[in-house]
Amino acid sequence: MAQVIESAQKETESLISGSEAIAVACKLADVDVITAYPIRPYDTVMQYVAKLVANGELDCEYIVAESEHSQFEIVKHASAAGARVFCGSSGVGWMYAFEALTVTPALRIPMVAMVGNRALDDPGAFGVEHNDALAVRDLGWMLVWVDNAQEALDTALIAYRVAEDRKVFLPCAIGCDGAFLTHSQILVKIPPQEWVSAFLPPYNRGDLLLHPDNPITIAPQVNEDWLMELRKQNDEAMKRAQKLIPQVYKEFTGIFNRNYGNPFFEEYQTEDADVVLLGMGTMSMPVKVAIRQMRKEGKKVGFIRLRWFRPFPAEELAETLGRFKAVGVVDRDYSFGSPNFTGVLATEIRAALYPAAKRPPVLNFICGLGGREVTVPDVKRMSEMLLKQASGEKQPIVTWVGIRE
Amino acid sequence: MSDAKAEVKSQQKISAKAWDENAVPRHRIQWCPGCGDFGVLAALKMALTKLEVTPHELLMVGGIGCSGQIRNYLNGNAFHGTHGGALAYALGAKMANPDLKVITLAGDGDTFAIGVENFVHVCRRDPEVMLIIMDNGVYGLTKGQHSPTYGRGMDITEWSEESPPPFSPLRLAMTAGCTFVAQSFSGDPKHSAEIYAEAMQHRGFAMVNDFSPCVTYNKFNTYDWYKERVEEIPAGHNTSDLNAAWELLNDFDRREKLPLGVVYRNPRRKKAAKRLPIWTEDLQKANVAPLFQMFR
Repeated sequence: MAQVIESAQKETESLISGSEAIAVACKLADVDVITAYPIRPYDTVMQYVAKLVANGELDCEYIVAESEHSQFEIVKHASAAGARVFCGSSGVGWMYAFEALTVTPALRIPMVAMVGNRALDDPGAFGVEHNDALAVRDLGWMLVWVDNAQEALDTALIAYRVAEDRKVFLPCAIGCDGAFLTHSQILVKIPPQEWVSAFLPPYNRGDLLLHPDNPITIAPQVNEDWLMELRKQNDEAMKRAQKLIPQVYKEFTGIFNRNYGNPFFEEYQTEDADVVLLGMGTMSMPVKVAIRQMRKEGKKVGFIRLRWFRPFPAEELAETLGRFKAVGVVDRDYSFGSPNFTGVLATEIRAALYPAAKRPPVLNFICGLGGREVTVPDVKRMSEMLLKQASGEKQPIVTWVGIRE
Repeated sequence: MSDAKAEVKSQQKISAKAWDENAVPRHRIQWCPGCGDFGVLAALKMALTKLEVTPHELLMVGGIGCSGQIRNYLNGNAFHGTHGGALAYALGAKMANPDLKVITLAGDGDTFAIGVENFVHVCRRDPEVMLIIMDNGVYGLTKGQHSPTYGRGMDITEWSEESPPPFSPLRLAMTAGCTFVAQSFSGDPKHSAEIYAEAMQHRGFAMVNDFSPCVTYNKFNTYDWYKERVEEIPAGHNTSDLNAAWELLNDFDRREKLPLGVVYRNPRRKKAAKRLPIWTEDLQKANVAPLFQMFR
């Protein structure tokens, strides 16, 4: 299928936000059931979905549920009955749904959810932190972070394609930084329906369909007799997802003529870089600006933006990171009491590097919590520390950047 | 009240102004101009002033949403709960410090959607807590999604799975065993203040559902819409008679009117009860030797 489809229909361009791009993806994917419960910044998706439904552009069941918990339970079972579903939340709303979130991958439900990343209040904060989505990282959810509205739309279509593959059948959450992405508009290329239909076949639940003609039991009590085997099945599904993702991106490029390169992570000015910063989401913007400025001063700094956090591209990433003299992991999250008191991503990167032949020193920067901006001076400060580390001047393992001391 | 507390109280000047100290202008009011919650704020100040409550005696627990902001605009102790959790916080605070006058200030989405389990069971538990629900039918803070009380006065559509009809807060409260059930309208703050004052003096859980129109997102249930439909409960209504309360609600429904005032008020008779003996005292007197002998 790896070819641009000859079509009378053309791409259109539209100035839309990250949230609207996700809603448009729901329309293109012809989602059957959408549930929602208002919480900022996720509620922006709700308003665009509601608008599409009200205008007759999207034919789906759209339910404003009574809480995030019921919201996720409704779509979970709609998916079991064969409906393509979309759901999502933010911050504590996502946490309120946690019981439903834990059982969704266990029941092999290919739900696609959008997490409008938001700090976990109290104390109240609407801004971005990644701890909400990261809370499900061990449970069988695929997790992917995007950094602009175009990528949000494309990744939502890719997420359905990967999640609904019979070899995978796992849910996928798309991390969209609150405000910086959910509310920011860019010109987005919206593909014609024909292309999407060619890329994304109808959801087929096969022998797992909950239907009177196919009497099965979902979520029985299995105890120690079967639970371990079922967990292993989830583990295998995640491994298969890791193999499938590059294939799906390739097909995507063939049809949509947009090439994301390595699907798992984006490399920026890394060819000749001495040191690299590594992070997820919209921090890529200030980091890239700072790198361009520093390059003019002859400082060889690069950036790696990780897209897929689950499945985690450990081997590939470790091999790439081995090329540099030092790596700075920028965490927009925290993990209190973790090894060396680093953020979540830093711990993962260090674990990925351990078996590698070349292991560069890893510094960790905790930055941009609660929606605080990751600024160009912040990035320069982090890069200077990395360059010092690379030249043999030892730096602390963890630094909180942009914090009032 | 202890003598020391009484003295503190007498030293404080009880005036409506006292409720503005530390509140305005430190917290710029974030409600839209014309929001029904202004009426609730005015009425609440009147009620607190009338009852001579002092700010230090008061705990306001706010829910999530525009309604919960009200606690920022009044002097006194305040706590911002989680979505749907405000009543649970209020229950805990009242149990830990029964001297506190605890008021919960929440919205209809907060109370009847995500927080409905807290609402129902606080009705059962019957703590001396007052709840004011600022009922506007929408989630205003997140731009107007429908809440469980949306659709008042509208026809029920066949898409009821997606757009379910509204339910009655008063009927739910009575079914759940609430011992003080009242309704007010923020377009009439003087009347609301009277109801709040009565609710605050109730010896048990007191719920006041206040119609507090959202001028931005609910274009149907407007001030004018409510003004045409609200009607004060007749003076002869026997508030302590549960059957009379149900009949009153049925009668108002039949006439497509909305009652304002106290629908039901009947403090529970609570039997005195003693907890299990304290180990260090009562149990030490017990002779446990024969019991141990059985297992030897």
